[in-house]
Amino acid sequence: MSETVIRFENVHYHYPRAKRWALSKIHLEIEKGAFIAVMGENGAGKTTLCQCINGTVPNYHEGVLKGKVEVLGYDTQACKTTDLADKVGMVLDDPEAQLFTTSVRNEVAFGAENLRVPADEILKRIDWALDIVGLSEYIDQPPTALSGGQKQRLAIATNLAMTPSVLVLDEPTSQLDPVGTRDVFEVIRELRETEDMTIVIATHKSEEIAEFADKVLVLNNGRIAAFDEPHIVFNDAELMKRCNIRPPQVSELASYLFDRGQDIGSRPVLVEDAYAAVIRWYAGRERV
Amino acid sequence: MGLVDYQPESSYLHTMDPRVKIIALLYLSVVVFVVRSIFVVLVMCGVFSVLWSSAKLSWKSWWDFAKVVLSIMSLIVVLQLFFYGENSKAHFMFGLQLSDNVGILSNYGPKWEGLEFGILLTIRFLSLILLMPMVIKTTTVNQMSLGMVRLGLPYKVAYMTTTSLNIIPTFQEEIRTIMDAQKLRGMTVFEEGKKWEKFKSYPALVVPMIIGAMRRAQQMGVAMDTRAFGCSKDRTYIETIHMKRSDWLYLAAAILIGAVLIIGNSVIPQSVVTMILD
Repeated sequence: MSETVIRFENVHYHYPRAKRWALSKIHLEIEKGAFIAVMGENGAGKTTLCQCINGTVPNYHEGVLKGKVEVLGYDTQACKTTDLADKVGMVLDDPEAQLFTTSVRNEVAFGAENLRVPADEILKRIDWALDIVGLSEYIDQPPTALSGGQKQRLAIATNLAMTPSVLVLDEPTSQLDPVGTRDVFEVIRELRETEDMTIVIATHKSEEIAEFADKVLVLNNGRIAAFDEPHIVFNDAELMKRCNIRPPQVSELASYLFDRGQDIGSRPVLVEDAYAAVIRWYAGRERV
Repeated sequence: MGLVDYQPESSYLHTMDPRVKIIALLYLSVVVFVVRSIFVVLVMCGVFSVLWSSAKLSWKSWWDFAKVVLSIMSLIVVLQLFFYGENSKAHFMFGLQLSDNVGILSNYGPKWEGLEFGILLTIRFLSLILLMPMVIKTTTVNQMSLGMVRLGLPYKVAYMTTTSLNIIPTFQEEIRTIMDAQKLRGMTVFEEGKKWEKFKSYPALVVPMIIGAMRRAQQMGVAMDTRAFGCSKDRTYIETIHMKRSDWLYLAAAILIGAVLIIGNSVIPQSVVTMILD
């Protein structure tokens, strides 16, 4: 049986001076090594849920939190965010605001230095983390000299150097162009393949999620609307419409064909699966 | 290139131990304000200029800031001209002293001493805007905070101080972005407007800057907490600093320069006006 690393027990959260609950009735268990995508329209509660995991909510934003959030057995309300830093890494949406030192090397070292990791070990971790995110050649550059995609990859590396068990990414590609987005997801793919890390990512990029995620958590007005495998979630047209989520384009195409009497036999969410389904469907038509 | 952002170069000031730079900065800043002779302050300004040039720092960035300082100081010079000095000893310009029967106002009138003191203050500030950026522009944030910690300052205080200096260029960049956004919507008052119009338009620039700064500060706070900032009183550093022989020499040189200037100040007549007019 897999170990549960993140547990939400009937969590409600209300920001100070807000008119409604940002999160309501959240019951959630995430297992070790899982890749979970959090989706939902703006204001659905994605960022709040992500920030609950490392204790930023409620420690930083105040507000009212009911219920219990447990990460690796630690109650996030009973810990400071800094105490959870070596357990939960967090990448924010704004590439500029989370980088504040004068070189890529110092940026990656910052967290590990605060955790009092010995200097020679930090130097090894810097090389390792920058190698994973593909920024080794920029080690002496100032972070301001990097592109948006490179900055977000650097932000991931800064967290990796603290060797957290859980990595939370809050819309890491929302301010990036398609090339930067692809590069960030490539790093996540690499992490998925090489590190035994639990990853939670809030995003709108359904194509990438369909490819990488084990499960998709759909939030709607602060409540969980669905928590299931990508092909099940993305093929629920009513859910997609209700929660204002755009499914992968191949999934939309399959639905479009189905609505017009052309059933290709399945509801693919990946391009490869769609290709195979279309070939099968076309071969069937030929025989007829 | 701003006046307070790190400028990578390969000068002796860049390789100097940050502790020497911090001590020399504090010590010479005190000397700048202790010295009252205009000759000595001029010499001090000259010494700092030589150091600035030898560190290969940009004179343009200094001059851009000096222009702002000069415009503020011109107002202070005018104020000093009228309000400096005691009535009984002052040398009024061209006999422009209000007559004694005006009572309390008899002290007022343009004085040579006031002009001299205003110029002295101006040179002091010009010296300081050479001295302080000279340290900041040649020291990385990490080196600076490490230097402060090794000198006994708590890490949190040291890092907050250096990071706030480092953030000024970010604000400058933010102001440029806001001005560009306003230009795109037809607001050209900062380029073409008169001074009063510019003054009236500053809220349009300052308000979005403050809001943006607050949002950025909040995000940065989250990012720093996430990376365990201040989780313990002490931390490790990948960089190390060691006082080299040359660093001890630089420190001795800075102390010597300050001492010579203070002695010079006590030997040379402090007021040119008194020297000429008395």
